[in-house]
Amino acid sequence: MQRIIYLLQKEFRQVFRDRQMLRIILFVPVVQMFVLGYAITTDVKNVKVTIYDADNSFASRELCRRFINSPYFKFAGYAESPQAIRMALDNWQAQIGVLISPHFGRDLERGLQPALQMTADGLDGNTAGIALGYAQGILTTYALDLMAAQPRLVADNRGLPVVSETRMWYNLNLESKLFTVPGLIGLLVTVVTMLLTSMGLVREKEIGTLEQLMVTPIRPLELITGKVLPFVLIGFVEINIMLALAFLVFDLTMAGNYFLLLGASLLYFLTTLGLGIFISTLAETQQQAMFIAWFFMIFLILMSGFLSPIANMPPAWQKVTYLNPLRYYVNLLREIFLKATPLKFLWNEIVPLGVFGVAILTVSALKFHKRVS
Amino acid sequence: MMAPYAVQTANLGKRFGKFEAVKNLNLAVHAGEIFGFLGANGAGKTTAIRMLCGLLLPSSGNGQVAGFDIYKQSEQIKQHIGYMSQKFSLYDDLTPAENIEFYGGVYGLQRQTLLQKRSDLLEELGLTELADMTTRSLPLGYKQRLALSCALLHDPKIVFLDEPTGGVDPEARRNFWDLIYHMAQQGKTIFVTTHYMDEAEYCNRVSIMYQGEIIALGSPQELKQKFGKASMQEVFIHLVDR
Ligand SMILES: Nc1ncnc2c1ncn2[C@@H]1O[C@H](COP(=O)(O)OP(=O)(O)OP(=O)(O)O)[C@@H](O)[C@H]1O
Ligand SMILES: [Mg+2]
Repeated sequence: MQRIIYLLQKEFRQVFRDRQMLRIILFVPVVQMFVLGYAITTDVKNVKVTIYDADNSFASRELCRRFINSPYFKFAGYAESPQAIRMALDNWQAQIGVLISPHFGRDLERGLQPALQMTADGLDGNTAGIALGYAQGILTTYALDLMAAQPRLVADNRGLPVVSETRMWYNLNLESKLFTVPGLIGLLVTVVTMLLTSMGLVREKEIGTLEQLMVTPIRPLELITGKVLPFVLIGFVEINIMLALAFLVFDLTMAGNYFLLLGASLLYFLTTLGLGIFISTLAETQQQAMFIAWFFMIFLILMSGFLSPIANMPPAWQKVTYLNPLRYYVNLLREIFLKATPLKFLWNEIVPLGVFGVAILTVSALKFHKRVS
Repeated sequence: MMAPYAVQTANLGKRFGKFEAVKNLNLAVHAGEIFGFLGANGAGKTTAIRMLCGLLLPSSGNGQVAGFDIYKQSEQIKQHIGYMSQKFSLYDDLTPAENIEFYGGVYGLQRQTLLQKRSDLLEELGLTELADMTTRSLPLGYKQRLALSCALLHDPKIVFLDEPTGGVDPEARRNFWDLIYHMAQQGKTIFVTTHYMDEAEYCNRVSIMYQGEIIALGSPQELKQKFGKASMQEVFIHLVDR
């Protein structure tokens, strides 16, 4: 126990003396969040749109014309059926599909507030959100013009004569920022805890101090604890910086429990720290460590559902994601962040995350012994 | 437990894949002896020392250090030995005082003892004034003596030094050897590798290793007589640089 305290003291002295490292720890989350913010507010133009006009009335054709002439959209041709819309989305021929129901024009005349169904390709969440916004804008202008031309439609006082019904083809109910922030947290803490742990251990290998430590009576478990604990703390600092930015700069609010989120993170750290230790047993130089860590990171991130929704992956790959601890962590973050899901409904994520964490950490700790290779 | 020798090996060997780095090493080092472990680059000195310190599992043979078996009791061995590796083994970005504090803590010294030892050592090493500098900025000679001090904080009976004087000037080397003599007088066993043949003359006994094997063993006096040479330098050249 005493040894661990001396190790921690040493680690913190080193971290605080290393300006470069401090800068990385503090600025990486900031930069990442701003890049995200930029990505959210980018203008999206030439969104490919396909329309299935089942009504083919005067009113529906007028609506189609507005989509076709909009500078924001690029008309990708009419769809012949509702299924054709889905197919166009699947084949990336269109990013958004508009479906005009069979009695659109008649319902409009009767003041029945027909709905325009808009389906967007949720794979690229940001573009989808913005495209739907544009489509909504077109629809609103169209409705306002209608009201100006036919005042009797206003009398009902029920709002606009046409409504929209938007759907995400991949992620239903998109709130892009809200959706991205938990993913970014997962990404960043993966990098920080896994990469820094492995680099820290391998650095001591490079300068020879690890060999020196191995001839002392220190126990491997003490050594590991002393080396990884600082990165747990740094990981928590990063999470808090990201949350603070999300709240202050992006006006987000977190629905769920803060401590539950930290608890889930700690559970995930078991995995990343374990991988960090594992990498350090394989690598002889920091470059090698970085390379191997990169390999793990690619797998973790691609197979987590952060960049592309899991539902959109080929079935075999979908199964592989069950082997990915980051999948569970990102899910947990989203559940807690967006939906305030109570703990008792989260066991499906927590149990596998914990099992993976304990297993990976145990295997790595066993592989890390006090001998040189 | 009753082994009369500080270090004893029987046919100790290490192979890396097909390559035999150490072959049939047979050694018996007396307690309190200064034992020089000589050999050209790549002869297998570091590999042998690592096996003795419990850092590397041997491929064959047996060995005991401080009476403990190098296969099964490496953790007990670690409590009784000090090891200064060939690589530099201090934290460059910490001050000398912080290095001492850290290693003392890892060796499990009591806080009071540790603080006392730290100020004594800084004084002894002439580092009291430089205590706030990072270790990086110290002259090499100081670093080496500091590294030795850190390896000795737990007062071990046996000390393994792997090329402790590599790259320092003759003056600093003499200072370092004064320390080695001082330790030997205190009854410690010193197991030291070196490339400097003048240092070999200071040892009680030396072994000369060549391609993983010991090809000569004895006191400098004996070896010089046996090969009819005036200095260890000539003996070494006679045996190794053929
Ligand atoms: N982990 C390893 N894997 C493969 N070969 C190794 C390993 N460690 C050492 N060797 C090889 O074993 C031989 C002996 O190396 P060792 O470091 O023991 O020599 P040395 O006598 O200490 O040399 P030097 O004087 O240069 O320090 C060398 O040829 C080296 O390349
Ligand atoms: Mg060597």
